[in-house]
Amino acid sequence: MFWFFFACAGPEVARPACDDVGDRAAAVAPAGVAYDDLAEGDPLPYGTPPQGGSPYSPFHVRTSGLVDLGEGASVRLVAEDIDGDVLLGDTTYELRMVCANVGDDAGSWVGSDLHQRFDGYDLDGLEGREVRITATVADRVGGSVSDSLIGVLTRM
Amino acid sequence: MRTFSLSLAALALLAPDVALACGGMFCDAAAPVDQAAERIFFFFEPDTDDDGLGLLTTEVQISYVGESAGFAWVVPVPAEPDIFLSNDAMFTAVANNTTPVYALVTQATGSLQLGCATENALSGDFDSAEDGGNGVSVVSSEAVGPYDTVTLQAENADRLVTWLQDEGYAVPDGLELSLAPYVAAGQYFVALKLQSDKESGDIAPIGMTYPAAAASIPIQLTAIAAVDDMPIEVFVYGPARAVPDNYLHVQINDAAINWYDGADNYRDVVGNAVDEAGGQAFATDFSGTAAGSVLSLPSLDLDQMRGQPAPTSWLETIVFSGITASTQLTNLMLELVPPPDGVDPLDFLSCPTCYDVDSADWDPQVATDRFEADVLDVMEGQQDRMEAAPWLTRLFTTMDAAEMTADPVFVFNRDVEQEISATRTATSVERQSAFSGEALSRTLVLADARSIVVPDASDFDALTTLASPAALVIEDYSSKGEPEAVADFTEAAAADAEAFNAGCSDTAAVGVPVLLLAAGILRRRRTG
Repeated sequence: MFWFFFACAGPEVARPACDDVGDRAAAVAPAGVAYDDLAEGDPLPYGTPPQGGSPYSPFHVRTSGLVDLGEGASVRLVAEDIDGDVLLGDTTYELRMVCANVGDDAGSWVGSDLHQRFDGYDLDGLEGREVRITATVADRVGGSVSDSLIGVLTRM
Repeated sequence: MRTFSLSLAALALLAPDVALACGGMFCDAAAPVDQAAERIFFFFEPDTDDDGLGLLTTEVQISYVGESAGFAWVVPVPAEPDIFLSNDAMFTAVANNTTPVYALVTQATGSLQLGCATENALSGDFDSAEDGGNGVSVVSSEAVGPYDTVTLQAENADRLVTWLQDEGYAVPDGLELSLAPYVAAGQYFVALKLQSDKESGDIAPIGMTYPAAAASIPIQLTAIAAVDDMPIEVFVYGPARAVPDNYLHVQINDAAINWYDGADNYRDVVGNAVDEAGGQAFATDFSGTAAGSVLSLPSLDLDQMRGQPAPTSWLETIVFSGITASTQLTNLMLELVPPPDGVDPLDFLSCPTCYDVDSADWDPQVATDRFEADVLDVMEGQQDRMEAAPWLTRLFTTMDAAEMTADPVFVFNRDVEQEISATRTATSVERQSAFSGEALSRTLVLADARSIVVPDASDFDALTTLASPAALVIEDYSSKGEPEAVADFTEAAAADAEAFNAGCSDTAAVGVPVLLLAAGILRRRRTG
């Protein structure tokens, strides 16, 4: 009796490489706005979040040069009122990012939108404030990188 | 003797509604995926007064096993809600109607086959609205079904937990951390506990209606009681297709589905795809017209039932009416007309008039009022909500507690492809023996036109090498415009399939050593 077995070696799937690619860099922008498109003093949309509660602004962040953010990263968003030197919000997200392989983000770690909440403030109390948003992305081996933008809070 | 089996009725509900259309092919596999999951329904009525807020109704199935005194449920909401009792009939019926079905259609050559193609036819006693000086305000309280409910606001999470524990809500220490973001955001909290005379078997789905801009799951609070890879099904009724706003979306790789083994790994594939997307992503199971209600709600003569002197006849009127079965209906019937001692409840309900029951305390007026209020009115409310919404989207994910760090929000997007069928089809092109009908060769043709040659016609395990990546496309949706692709492996997967086919066609290099190995095994067996 003879048995015939045929086997195929599995192909390697090409994965994009985001680890240790070039210098560390980060970019933050309002959700739906391309990175670097927001000039200082431009309107920064804020409003009531879809699920209710404190006002918020949605942002997206991309980064490169950090290690294995697909296994874990922390992204801290800090909002400061520039004129009054007042802290308006400080939120840290623990998440896993995705290594993009298409478009302008190819080769960078990205994720979905992140919400900066302004706890303790109502909509009227935020209108027209000039704020600095700082996003700091950190990997699990001690590396981190930040980016900031400045805009004027304007209702969505 | 007429019989009725509630358990069989429930089983029937678990089968997908499949319509068969005869053609020149036959379907040898049309497999619905496993359906156990946490389920949450949203019904969104758009804003009508330009305040940016619509009206959101949320209905949730609550899974709980344990002592009744140990049950407590807390959920944050953006505004004071109207709370009402729900019914699991809708959860089961809608889930079954929208469950992904994987249909492998065999297209035979070499011998004639006839068959069909398949298509899915597809009591609180709180002081109201006051802060007792402890930082917790009781906004309202009421009894809803088997629950005592209370709606609260709190200044800080520690005080909220302390208040709940003092009032007999069995919330665990450590809940403060999970509640803190919601307290800081000024949310309201709805807390439930079972009334003292109720048991854990009385736990029923609960519904809430409140103003909101969109649907959201307070998943950060869920983390405290989550299991690994917790499956979550979200059903969103609204004006258009619903998409995740702050979570990513995945299109799964159909090559990862084990088509030749009942397609029973769909959930694992989605789970892997979500992991590849960072753990915070959804797949769309179905998107299409809501097509009205899926509940069977027959017209019953309630006046006649209110005058029915025999409890078993009253019961029989219900069980043979064709009404959609539910746990709540079964429990109510058994409460109002208990079976005789020693009789299995489901046997009793299958033929109530086959048994004699004590009718001394029977009050058909009271029983019919309860049936109307606790079952009929609840189901009619569900039916009205389903019929009012033009579009239904079903989304699915699996999540670990560590991934529950941001609450997913779902928005409506009219710009993207609206219809996503629950039926996914592939074709197995087979050259068959004219004598035995046995497949001599098989090629799996996926919906995206990838052709994959099955090694040796039956070496289906080899196909698992094409199962990675599980996410063919990872994309980012918002309420407007097309999604933005984050990672796209479409071309890579097509190239993988071609490489796989090329490798399989070269059998000499791989087949000989395996043949020698097989011969060695045979020799050892003979001499052993």
